[in-house]
Amino acid sequence: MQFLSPMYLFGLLAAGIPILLHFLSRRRPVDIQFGPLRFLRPTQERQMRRLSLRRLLLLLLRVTIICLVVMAAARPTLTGGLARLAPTGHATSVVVLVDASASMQAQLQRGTMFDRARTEVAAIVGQLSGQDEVAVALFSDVVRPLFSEFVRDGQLVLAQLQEARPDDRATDYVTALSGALDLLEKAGSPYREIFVVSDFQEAAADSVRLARLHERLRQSPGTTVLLRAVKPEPFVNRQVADVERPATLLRAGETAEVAVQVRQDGDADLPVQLFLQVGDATVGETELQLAAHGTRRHGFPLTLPAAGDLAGSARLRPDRYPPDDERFFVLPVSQRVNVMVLAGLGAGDGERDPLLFLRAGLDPGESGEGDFALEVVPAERMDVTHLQQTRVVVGTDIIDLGAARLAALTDYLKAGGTMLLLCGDPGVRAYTNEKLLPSWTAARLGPFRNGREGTQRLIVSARDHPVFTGFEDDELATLEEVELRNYYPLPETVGRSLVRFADGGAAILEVEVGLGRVILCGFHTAATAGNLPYSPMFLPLMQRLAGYLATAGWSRYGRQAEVGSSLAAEAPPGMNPGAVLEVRLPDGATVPATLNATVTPPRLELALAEVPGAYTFLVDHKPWALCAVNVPGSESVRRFQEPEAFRKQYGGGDAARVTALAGDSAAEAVRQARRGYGIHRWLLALAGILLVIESLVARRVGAANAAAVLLLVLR
Amino acid sequence: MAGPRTGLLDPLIISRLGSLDLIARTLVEGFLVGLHRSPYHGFSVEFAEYRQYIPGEPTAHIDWRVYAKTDRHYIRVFHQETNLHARLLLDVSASMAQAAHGGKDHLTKLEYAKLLTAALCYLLIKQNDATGLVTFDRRPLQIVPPRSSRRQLMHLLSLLERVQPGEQTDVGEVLGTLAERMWRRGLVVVISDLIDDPDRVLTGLKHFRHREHEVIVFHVLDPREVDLRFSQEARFIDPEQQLDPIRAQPWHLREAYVAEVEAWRGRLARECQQHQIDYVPLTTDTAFDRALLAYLNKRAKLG
Repeated sequence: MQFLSPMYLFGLLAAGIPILLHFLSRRRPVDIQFGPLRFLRPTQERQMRRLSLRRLLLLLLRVTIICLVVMAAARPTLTGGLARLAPTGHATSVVVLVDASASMQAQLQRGTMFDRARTEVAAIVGQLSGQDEVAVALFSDVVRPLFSEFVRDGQLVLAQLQEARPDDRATDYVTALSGALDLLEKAGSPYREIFVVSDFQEAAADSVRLARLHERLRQSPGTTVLLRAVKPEPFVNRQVADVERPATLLRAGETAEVAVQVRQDGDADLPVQLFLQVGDATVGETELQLAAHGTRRHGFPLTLPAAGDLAGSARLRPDRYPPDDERFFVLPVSQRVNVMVLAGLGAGDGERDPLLFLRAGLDPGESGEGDFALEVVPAERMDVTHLQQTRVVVGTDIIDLGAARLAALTDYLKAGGTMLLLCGDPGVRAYTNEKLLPSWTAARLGPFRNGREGTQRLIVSARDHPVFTGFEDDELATLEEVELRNYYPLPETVGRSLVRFADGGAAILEVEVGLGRVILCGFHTAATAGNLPYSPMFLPLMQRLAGYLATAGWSRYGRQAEVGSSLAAEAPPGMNPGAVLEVRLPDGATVPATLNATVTPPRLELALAEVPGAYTFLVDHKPWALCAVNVPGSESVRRFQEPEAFRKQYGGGDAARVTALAGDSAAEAVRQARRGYGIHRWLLALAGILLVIESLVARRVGAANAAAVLLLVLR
Repeated sequence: MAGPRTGLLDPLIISRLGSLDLIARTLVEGFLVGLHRSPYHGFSVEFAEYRQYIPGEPTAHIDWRVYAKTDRHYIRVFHQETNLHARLLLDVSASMAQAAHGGKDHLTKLEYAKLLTAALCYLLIKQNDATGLVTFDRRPLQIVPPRSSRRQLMHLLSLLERVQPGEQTDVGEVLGTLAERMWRRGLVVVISDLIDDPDRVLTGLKHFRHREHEVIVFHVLDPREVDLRFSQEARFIDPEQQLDPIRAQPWHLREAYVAEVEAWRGRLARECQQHQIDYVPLTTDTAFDRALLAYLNKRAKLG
């Protein structure tokens, strides 16, 4: 049973009134000396027993009457088996939410999960009366109504549903239920029902949005939610779980390893055949033996052709859930990465010059063949043009950047740019803490340590970070032998500490700034700061830091996205403003792309990637950048919530208004659940009958007729 | 049957008259005047005095010679030597001392019984019947042997004035004991609420009959003990502490209780009738003429 106005149920406290009166009315009796007590006793025993029963009956009647009246006020509706006894007769506004997420593409013996969902919807719609109005909406992480308004023609609904197809997006029940409540705002009836037809695959739910949904449900007292599960058939799902690209910059002609993770959820060992495809060619093939519920990682060596983006996919032979049997990836093959070095204090000061070793670290030998093409720019001369042409900014001991430059740098970072900022000079603390960092992050430089307390060793605190993955333990141990004399400790509670000092405080800290990121070092690379420049790990560390930043953020390289998200790529430097901008979709069709010139550097954008595959941004019909789009991994989980758990999670405090439709027959389940109109009148009628009985019993007991009092109060 | 001057025979009014002597005289004389005939017997023994004829009395004893001389009707009154021994058995147990009504406007059963006893003493001695008195609870308390003198009346009335409530009742046992002691046949008047085992009570009464006594039983109850007309929830306490108190709402028990009491009184009446015992049910609001009339009827049978 559900209550449309549950707040009235607080009135049940009034049931305590007759109980209170019952005990208060038991006054102290008067003492009477009475001779013929022997004649009173047998009568008294008999009568008092009967009287006690009658008084108890009277009390029960009064409590029941109050409860019935209060419950009637709370507008109860029957659900479950008893519901079939109650008549129907009121118009209801119904929203049918049909799960069209990627998981509904799973194949069954006959048809797909989505086909079965259609059948369930047909059964639900078939149970609606002529006066009911219905809206059907598909949902995944978005809600797609089939009609712009409620309709009363069930056949029309079913015909429209036949045309509908599931998408490749994730499941988001909060969005779905919120969308249904939005639709119900246009409903004509106060009696509202939301049917959710879904496999109820587990999906993440943000607590804030969930709380908002609970609040909306609470404010929709006439709305009930009915859950109809589409039962999946068991099968062993094989999937390409992930494709790992090298964390370093890739150069043409090199051989890189593309590692593919394959998983299966069966209870027995299973051989799978894995293919690696680049472009139209299959460049790798292997057979792997997967243990029960096991994951295997296999690396395909891949010789990288000329510079540019390389799109490919790892795929298995299709099983009954095809969307996760192929995973797309993009490998960025570059020639050189433009790095702008913003030079601050100490430049040209001999061994005190941090630039000396920094340049050596990023471009060893200054051969011009390294990964990074350095451009050293004095901080006070930097302008926006520099920022548009660089992928990584490296700043060392920057002071007095100027307000305009700082604003441009901040915009660059917030739009997705990256920066490595080294602070090791005792003179930079004030400017860094008061100007630079407050524009970007809550992190601040700690007090400067000048070596009087002794040297300080480094400890790698994030060995799983891409900067350090691939290093051997002895290499990291070598890094940890570095001793620094001059440094600033950084806070460990802001951002992510990659390396910290032995006596506390972060040495290398990664913080996000808008869409971009900054790696902040509490030291610089001058020889006077410590022996870091002389360490064998100096060069790899610098290369990794810059390489990581070059591949992080919004950069066109390595862009991986999920279906349902937007795509963006950095616009070509110096692009003709009138250039034709397009995106080639995985099916070969092209759609227009847009240019977002409000960010630095400007971006090419596609609002929505609707299917998995490789997307190519075209500039004047020539390929410029690639993006790989995959089906959300959450859709491959194949863990399904029990309706009861779903009811509690999404119903919140109003879980009673969320009902699971059990049983093989959706029509029968719906028939049972939808009844219940007029039960409040039934309760009032029953209360009336009980009032009459109460007055009769009260007369026999010799008590005041509470029924009359109650009627008076009600009137 | 209510007398013609019921007001004066109302127990409550009578009880306010003060001394028991005055009460008894007022009660009896008032009653007798209302009867319009003399109840006394034994007019043939020894002339005592003339008294004025009261209309309604039999004309057989009018002295016509006096009428001829005085033109007034006088009746010749004689002293008679009685052969009737009357014993009044007054129950003074604790249950007799309580008025279920409560308050000053109601007589207790004992007060009522004392007034009735005093009236009967007055009536009996006035016609020269030897009258004795026994008060009892679970045993005889005071025993005054029957005598017919005027002093006996004063003695009995004085004793009645001093009667205090006793303890538990054992009517059956006491009646049996007294029956054994009373070897001379006579009139036995039992004034009690008879709250005891009915079988034992009847056995005691039959014991008197077995000894060939004439027995008249005044069964005195409080009106509330008959009709249970209480309007409050009450805790009923046995005055004799023999039974545990009962808590009840009387209006729920009234019907069944009245039936029980009627059955009890009906049984007593029926079995008394079977053994030629006069059973007179009274309540403390019953006018005394009913009791006195019952006595006179009995006395008339005795000759």
